[in-house]
Amino acid sequence: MTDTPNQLPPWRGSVSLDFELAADGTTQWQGGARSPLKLLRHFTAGDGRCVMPLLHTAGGLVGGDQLEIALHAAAGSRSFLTSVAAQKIYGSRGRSRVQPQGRWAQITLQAELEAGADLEWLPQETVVFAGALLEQQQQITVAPGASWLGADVVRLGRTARGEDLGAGRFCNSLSIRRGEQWSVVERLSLEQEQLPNPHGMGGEPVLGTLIWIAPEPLENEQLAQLLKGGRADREGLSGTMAIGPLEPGLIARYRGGSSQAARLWFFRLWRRIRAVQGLSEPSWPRTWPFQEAELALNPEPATTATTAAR
Amino acid sequence: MSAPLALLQLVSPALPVGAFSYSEGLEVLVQRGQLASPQDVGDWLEAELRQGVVRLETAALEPMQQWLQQWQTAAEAGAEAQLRDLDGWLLAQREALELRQQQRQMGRSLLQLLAELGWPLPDGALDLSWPAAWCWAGCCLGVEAEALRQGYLFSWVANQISAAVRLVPLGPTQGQRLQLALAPVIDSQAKALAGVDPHQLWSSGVGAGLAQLQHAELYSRLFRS
Repeated sequence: MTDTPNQLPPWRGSVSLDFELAADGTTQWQGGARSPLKLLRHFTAGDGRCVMPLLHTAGGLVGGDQLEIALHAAAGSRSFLTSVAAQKIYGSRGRSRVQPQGRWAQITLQAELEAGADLEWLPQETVVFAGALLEQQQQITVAPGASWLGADVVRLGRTARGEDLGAGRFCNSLSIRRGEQWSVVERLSLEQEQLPNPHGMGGEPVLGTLIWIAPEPLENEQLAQLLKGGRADREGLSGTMAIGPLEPGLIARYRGGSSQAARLWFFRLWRRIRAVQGLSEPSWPRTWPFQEAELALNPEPATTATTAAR
Repeated sequence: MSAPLALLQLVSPALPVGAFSYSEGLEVLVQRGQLASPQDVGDWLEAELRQGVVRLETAALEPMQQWLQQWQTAAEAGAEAQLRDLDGWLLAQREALELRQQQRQMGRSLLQLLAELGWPLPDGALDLSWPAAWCWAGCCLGVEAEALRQGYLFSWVANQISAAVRLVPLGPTQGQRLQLALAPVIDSQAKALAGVDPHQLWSSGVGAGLAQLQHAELYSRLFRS
């Protein structure tokens, strides 16, 4: 556990975005992107929220590639960011004679939310191929009174083809600060040997995390209803799912075989989190697989045609 | 008091901090049949010792002990702030509210006890969580860093085994056998974590975090975590 990520960058994509509340009540953005990251045309949702899909034109990262995303949300702004496709991290270990130990791909997210800002970050899943090395760093700073919603789904190995993580490794260093306090910190590292262990992944390839930092503490009854509803939302989905309160907010974890199940559960939680704040219901994002939209709100078990690939 | 005696007092189950009322997710695993044998319990505890959050806490003990000493003697102006930052950073790695409450309650109880024994923190502070309070006990009783790490891990293992014995899959003799079997892991971790920056360490305890989150959902509960 001592090797540190490689620093030589063959490809560095970046996105930098500022969100501000305009006089007409809509949220406007400023900023830009550097290839291979691109911004797709945004649109404004009914409540004035700026919906911004990100496109990674390379489709994936090889060892040494870096993506940097920096977000700033001003007071009163509302925004939602997602990605157009899954993020693929290609195998690196044992691929090159020059560097048989492989090189790290890095994805960095920095977000700063001012009081009264509302930022939702729900990218599509990341697929870590066998032998891939990914270090993800997420540093979120949330002023009290701001709302942060972030979700992350990672698949370790292309399990549909019987592949596991091999000699690869996935590291996620997440820290969320709210005001002067650490709210959530994660220093997660997963390698193949920890995947079968019940203490680690329990033999499952997919890990999902949803974190909501609420603008202010919920009333007990509200919180109890939110947790109860969130647990009921697991209906019809495969995998282990658990949810609990943060101070203030919510954390939900998925460990299982289906990235689709994780996404569907998180979408249902997202609706509840909007509702508990009195905000408009989120619609199924246009860039997500549309076949799943119906399943998201329909607790019937998924049909074989739409069950996530294992 | 000699150093070995001080350590014995700290790791004694008679230390009134309420450790016996927490299972840290073991209760969930036992109810779901996921810890069915002494071997399963041993593997689980060893995994946490080798790659769980408890390892990050153990690495944090030495710097926290130093900051506590500097805070007490007012030798270093920023010591309290650094201590509180690391204390909060460790606590934030516990995703389940029950675990956070456990760490806070046990920390407060130990600080309260030490204050009553004549070792109050500056300003009578009681709001540090368990690892930091453990360090303050080490300062008061004169336990040096490596013994403090050993004691921290030993007492964590002992509490977990005590919970497992009460949750049935483990008899008392098997529990003692397990504590004995884990001694080399405790020793090697206590040595290996000397001088290691906790911010650079990783954990892989997804399953541990899940079990701890699930505890709040159990219909009948013996334990508070």
